[in-house]
Amino acid sequence: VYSPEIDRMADCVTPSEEPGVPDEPLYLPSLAHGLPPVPPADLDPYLDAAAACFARHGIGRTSVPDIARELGISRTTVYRQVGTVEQAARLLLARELHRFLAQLPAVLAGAIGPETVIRLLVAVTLFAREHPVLAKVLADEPELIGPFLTGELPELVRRVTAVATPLLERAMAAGLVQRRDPAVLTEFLVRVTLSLVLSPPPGDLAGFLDQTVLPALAR
Amino acid sequence: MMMLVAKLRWGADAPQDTATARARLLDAAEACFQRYGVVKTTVEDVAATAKVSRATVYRYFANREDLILGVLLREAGRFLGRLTVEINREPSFDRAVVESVLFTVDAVRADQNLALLFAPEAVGLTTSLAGASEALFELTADFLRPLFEDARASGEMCADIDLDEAAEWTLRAVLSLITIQGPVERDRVRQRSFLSTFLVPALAARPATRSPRRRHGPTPPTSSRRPSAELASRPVTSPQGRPKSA
Repeated sequence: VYSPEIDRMADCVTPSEEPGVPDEPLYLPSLAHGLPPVPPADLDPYLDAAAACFARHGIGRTSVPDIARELGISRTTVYRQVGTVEQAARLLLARELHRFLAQLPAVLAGAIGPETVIRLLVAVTLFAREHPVLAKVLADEPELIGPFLTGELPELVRRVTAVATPLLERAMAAGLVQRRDPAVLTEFLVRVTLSLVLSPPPGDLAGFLDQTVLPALAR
Repeated sequence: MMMLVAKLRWGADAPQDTATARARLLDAAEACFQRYGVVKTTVEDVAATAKVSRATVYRYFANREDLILGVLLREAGRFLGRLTVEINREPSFDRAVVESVLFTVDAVRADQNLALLFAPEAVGLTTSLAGASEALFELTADFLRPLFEDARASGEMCADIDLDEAAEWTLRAVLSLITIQGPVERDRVRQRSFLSTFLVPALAARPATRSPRRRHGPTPPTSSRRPSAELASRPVTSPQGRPKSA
């Protein structure tokens, strides 16, 4: 259901081919640890069905029988495979995050400069805002966002940091991005993204980020 | 006749004007937020607490969201008075920015009513209301504008950032720090350094541009490593060679 959107996001971020940075293979830490775990691919049909229900009714108004009906299977099977609605929502989040992170190194192959980071922020923000489940939550279930921000965010930042750190370190070593603590820089970028997703700026997103984020990245 | 209608609606002590009526409804809303929490409070609850009909509440506030925003704006307005005193103590623009953000975040956490608006179950609602609120933005921008204008006059403020965007960026930093405590709890020193590293560069003049020689324009690109024009002109293709989605 979501891979076309992720493809589209990948399309937005054209990798730079600046010379001077060796194209070493990157160490990509396993994303399968911590909570919620990344679900195996054979859960995809369940998570796609859950996502369809969430986008239609909202997470709070979706029941396990709804998901079962969507798939035309018994509710017992849904319970056994993905658990409760809340567990399905967390698995869906883990899957979407993992899909996004897993392709970052390829999307950002080659050199990362400040402008590439801005383009990535724009792409992620648009992707998140257009995601049917998140759009539904933002519109009709904003009360779900707070517990997520306090509950799941530390783990989300950890996972983004694990993937982003080697990429940012390479950019810093190549002198393309101002040297900062990669973990702190990643947290900053996640905060910016969340701010933009929760309350979109009125004007041009890229122009706004050029004014505000670029100075913290540029050397 | 108007007074009589008002008296019937409000009971014995009808408010003298719109501002008083709104203030009393906001008092009632705050009492309800304390009692039931922000998310569970209904317009009906506020009406009952203020001892008026629901229709009366709707004459002053469009809905529950409008009441939440009203409480937020009133508290923010009260708070900015205290913040002025705090800012005037700071010796430089950079420090004034950092300290005012930290002071605001602390004040929100310490304020009975504001802390409730940013409690976990309410924060999503509050943040989307606050972020979308013209009024909160105007309040922030009006407050920050003199600070920014002074800093621009003294050469401490970055020459090419739009002052409204600078205010919006500062408001976003405040909302982000209030909303998300962070993956790690930071002490005061680290909070300061986080803000100095990531908020200040957008607002403050770069050290090099503070010399009179370069003060009047943005720094020209000095390195061929800034690939924005090049990237923008390159055809957009999927790096994995996957077909583009329709």
